[in-house]
Amino acid sequence: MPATWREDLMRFAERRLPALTRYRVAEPLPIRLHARRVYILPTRFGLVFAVLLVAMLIGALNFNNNPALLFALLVAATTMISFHHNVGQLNRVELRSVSADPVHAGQPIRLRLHFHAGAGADRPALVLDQDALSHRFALTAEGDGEAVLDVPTTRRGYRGVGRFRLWTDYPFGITWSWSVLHPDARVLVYPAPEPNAPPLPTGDPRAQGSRLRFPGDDWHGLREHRPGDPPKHIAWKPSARQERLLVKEFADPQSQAVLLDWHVLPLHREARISRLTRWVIEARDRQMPFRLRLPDTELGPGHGPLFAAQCLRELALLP
Amino acid sequence: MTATLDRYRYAVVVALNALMLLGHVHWLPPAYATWLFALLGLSIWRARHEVRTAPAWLRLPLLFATIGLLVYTAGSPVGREGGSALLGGLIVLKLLETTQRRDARVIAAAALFFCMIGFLFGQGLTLTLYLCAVAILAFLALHVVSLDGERDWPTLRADLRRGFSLSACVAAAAIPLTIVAFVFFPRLSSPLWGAPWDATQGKTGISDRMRPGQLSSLWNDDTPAFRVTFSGPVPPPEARYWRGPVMWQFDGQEWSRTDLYRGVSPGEIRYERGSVTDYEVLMEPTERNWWFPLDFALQAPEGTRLGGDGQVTTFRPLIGPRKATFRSAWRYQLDVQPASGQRWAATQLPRTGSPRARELAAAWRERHGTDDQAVIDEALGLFRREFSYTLEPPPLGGDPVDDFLFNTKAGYCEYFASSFAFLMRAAKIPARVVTGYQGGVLNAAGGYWIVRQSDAHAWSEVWLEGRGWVRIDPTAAVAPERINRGSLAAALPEAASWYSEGWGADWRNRFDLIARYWRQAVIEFDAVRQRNLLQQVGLEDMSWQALGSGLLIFGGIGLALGAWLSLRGLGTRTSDPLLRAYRRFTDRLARAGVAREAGEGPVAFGERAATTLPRAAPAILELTRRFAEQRYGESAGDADSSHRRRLAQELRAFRVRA
Repeated sequence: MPATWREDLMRFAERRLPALTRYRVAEPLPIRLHARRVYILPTRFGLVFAVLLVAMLIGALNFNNNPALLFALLVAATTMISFHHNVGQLNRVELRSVSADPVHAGQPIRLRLHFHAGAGADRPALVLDQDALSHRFALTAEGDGEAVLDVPTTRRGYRGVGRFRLWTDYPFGITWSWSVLHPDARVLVYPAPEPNAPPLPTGDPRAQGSRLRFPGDDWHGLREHRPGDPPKHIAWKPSARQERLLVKEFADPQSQAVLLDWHVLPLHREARISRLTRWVIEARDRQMPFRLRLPDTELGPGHGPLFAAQCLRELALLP
Repeated sequence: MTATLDRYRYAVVVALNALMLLGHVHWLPPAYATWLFALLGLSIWRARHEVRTAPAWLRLPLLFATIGLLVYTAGSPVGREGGSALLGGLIVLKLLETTQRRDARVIAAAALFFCMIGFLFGQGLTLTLYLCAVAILAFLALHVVSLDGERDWPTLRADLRRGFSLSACVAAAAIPLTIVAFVFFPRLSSPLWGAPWDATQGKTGISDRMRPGQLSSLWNDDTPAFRVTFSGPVPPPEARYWRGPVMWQFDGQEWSRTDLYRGVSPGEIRYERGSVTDYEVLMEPTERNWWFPLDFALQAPEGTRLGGDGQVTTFRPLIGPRKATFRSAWRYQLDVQPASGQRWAATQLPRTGSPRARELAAAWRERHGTDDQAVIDEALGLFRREFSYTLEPPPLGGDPVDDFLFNTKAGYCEYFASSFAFLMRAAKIPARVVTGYQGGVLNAAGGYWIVRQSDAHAWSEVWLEGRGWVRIDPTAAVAPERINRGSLAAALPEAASWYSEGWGADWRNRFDLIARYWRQAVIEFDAVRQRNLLQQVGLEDMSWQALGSGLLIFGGIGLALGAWLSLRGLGTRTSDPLLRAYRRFTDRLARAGVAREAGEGPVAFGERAATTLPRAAPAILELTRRFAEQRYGESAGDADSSHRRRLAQELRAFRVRA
């Protein structure tokens, strides 16, 4: 619907009308729309309709045809009253929250805008726009609803949700009224994972030596007896079956976790973040415990989606 | 944004077109109207699965066929009738290539425009109401195509219901603004361009030519020709002749007017003082140049001219309804001394033709010598004895006068007036044919008389020495009841009684009264009436500026009132049955003394109500809890669940027991 001339007009209006520019700065949620910040203009069809109405009025006046004049005036008056209904669609609509599940930079983030309609009629044809994106949704009177926009992301970190335009040409498509919503809300974007990263640095536990710390407290497995093993660790029953001495081995869980270390990666800053992100995702998906060592902090050891989310968040917020 | 129409919305647009056309069938040529409806049927049939653009090989031939049929039926695709009919056809044809929302909107707007064109062909109250209803439906169509998403029948039905209540409510709220604008809108003192008047095309009423058989189209036309309000005495029924065109020339087939006496004032007229009356005539538009004053008009109102033969003509055709005041006398003597040339003009006959009639007249003249009255009596006696009155006479052959007089011997006023005048002229008595109306019915409720098209009549006048022009109505000799009870009653004595006298007439009178109010209040509201009305409320200055500011001020009030009314009216309406039920519930509680405050949540309100009304507390709390759960909880949004329905029922059934 938004044609270029309309965009120009919008820009002009924003330059000229302080009431419009007032809402260019982000404002805290909830944002409640009222008639003074809802703007209305004719649609392109509305302009055609206006020309037609003028032609009808002039024709009726010219022929001194009063029923025709009455008819044209009724149509005109109905149209004018519909302006109020058009604005009334946005009046008392409230944006209560904006939320989004984090995504990695480069992926579109799905913004969920939670709206509540105040008293009045149903709002069956609301449209939420941001740039080229738009989403149509409906609200019943005194009801709640959600508008969803998949907004592209480019950079990691917190991202302001930006300005939205909520508009509708309901009920007759003759006018459209809109209001600009610029909520003071931000959503988190994780760093983009490195596309072809080397595998997780698990390697051979003994060779690397970093993965397990022996001895530990938790049961780990059986191995051949080596001189110096404490006798109480000898597993007698398996040893009897195998006809050699086996000992029970214990290891610390900490020593089990993969260490994802910022400092050992020979890469520049963003590439390091990118690779660590990839590894965190991989470790999360494989349910592996891991530790994340960052310039200032060390996280973990830990495992599972919550811990991974914490790590990704730290990565995202790295300066 | 382009959006394609689904077949349900398309059907709404087609239905709008059908209703639009229905408002025009009274003037569209029947074959053409049928064709347009057939095109609508074709559109619907083509869109039975999905909405597709018709291919050019279908659209082009249909376009040419439409224009061809238009030229064939209406004569030309220009002018008022042709141009309007062409526009209607183009709108209907546009449907064949309509697939987008944008096209549908343009069609709805064009339908509104075409509806307005309908007022060029009629301005009655019924038509106005119908076309305004179609306008509401055009807004309904605009509303339906504005909504997004694929529609099926149930969702469309919901759209239609909501759209109708919305459009009707907004249109109703627009009425105050419409009335204000109607009163204040500055009227043009002179038109910007010429009126859409086709000189060749007389629509209604009596024309300036008369050929036996022509008036028959009027018998069934029950529309009023004009209305008369007497301020003086009311003439008796046998004197209610309304004088129209006077026919002087006869070519053997057809009588026609002459312009000889248009510029001449009537000759000497003597009249009885007791038969003079003043009255006001409210004329329906005829698109012709003459009025129908009571025979015989003594004075012509301003803007008209009283001709030498008593006909009142205007300079411009009566396109719109007009009102004028006349004075007439119904017992009079005209031209006792004949104006020069009149006697000669009134005895002219075609050189040849109708030999038997001429023979008959010559025989009468021979028998009675110079006694003109005796010749007249012969003719009337002949009609009375041998002729019969019928509205469906047998067709006449090549020589209409002879064929009627000696062969068919059945007809109505035109036949009798024409052949009587012929016989008189053949007997050297100056005679002419007068057309007009005869009769009129009192509308007791409105205190005025209606003369309908079906009262159209033709009679003769002969010039007699010492008496001047004397009206002779040969039809009265054949069927006296025609004069007393109208043409239909004369032709069908028993069938017409309920219609013209019984309850049918009663209803017709009532309806006509409304129609007259409509005519006076709306149709005739012009710059003069506007000034009179506004001066009554103290507005002396009638400049454009004054009217404009009045329009702005009162229009603003009307607009605000309408917006407030309609927003309030629609605000309480919602499509959610649960919320509707909950509002009933809060209304009941409000009547019991606990009103929900703005912004008060349902739970908080429920608790407050429960403490104020302890007896109903368990029910209030229970219903509130379940309502909050259904509306805001996990299952919110699931409109079809049976829990919601049951809860809505219980909310509606809730009563506060005092």
